[in-house]
Amino acid sequence: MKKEGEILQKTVIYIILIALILSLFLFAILGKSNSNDTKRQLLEKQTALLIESSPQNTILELNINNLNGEINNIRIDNYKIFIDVNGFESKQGYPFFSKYTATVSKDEAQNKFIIEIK
Amino acid sequence: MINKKAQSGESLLMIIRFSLLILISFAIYFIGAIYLDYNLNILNTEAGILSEAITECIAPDNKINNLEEIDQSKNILKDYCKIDGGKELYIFINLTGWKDEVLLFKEIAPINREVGLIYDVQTNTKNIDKYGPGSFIYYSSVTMADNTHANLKVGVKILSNE
Repeated sequence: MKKEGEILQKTVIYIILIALILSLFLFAILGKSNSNDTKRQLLEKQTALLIESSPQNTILELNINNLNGEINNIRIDNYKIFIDVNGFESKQGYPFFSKYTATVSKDEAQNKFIIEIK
Repeated sequence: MINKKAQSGESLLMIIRFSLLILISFAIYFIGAIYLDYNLNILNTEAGILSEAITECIAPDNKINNLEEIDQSKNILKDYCKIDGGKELYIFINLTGWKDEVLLFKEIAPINREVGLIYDVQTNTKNIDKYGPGSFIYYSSVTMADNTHANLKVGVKILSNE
């Protein structure tokens, strides 16, 4: 016959193990959602959508200190946008389509990146 | 005295419990990953923007004036609409309710940045369903040059393996 203490001990071990495994997966999800790669993807895709839906002579301003982190650099090359966030260099980029030419410049004084659609 | 049958049953139960726990944890992880991926996916929106842009290009202010020019254009997006860039696309443009149904354009087009958005018309559209989920169909009532009415249907599927 089992002693009461033995059952309690086993239950406590189970609970600790369950909490440990669940927190491990939870942290994995949180890590993925807060990673620089996800932030880069978000920024690139949001900016690509803005460019795609913008008419001619539109000026888009992106704050360097963004909700998704600090934007280090924005490049537009061959209808692909690359945004470096929190020191994380974008290598993949995100392709966009447009009828117009998009150019990017940095406004140091206002701490902004300016995308012009001409 | 230790009951051996009870002991083996208990360890079996423990294995089942842990397997279940790991299964639940993986399920939570995958649901989280799918949720994140869904929120990061903008292909449907892009397909919508492109469909509207093509409709506006073919029928500005819902009026088609130069159907022949559109029909003869080898590359509607690049040559006629001047749209460049983007991902691989599958586009179909239908005009219904005007004489016979006219299929203006249908192709799978891989990106070629040197030449433009579409460089090779492929007739094989069998494998189109394996791509997704970026798709959008845009309907618009248009007036033809001879003042008859027609329905324009522009469908865009963005092919992406990301």
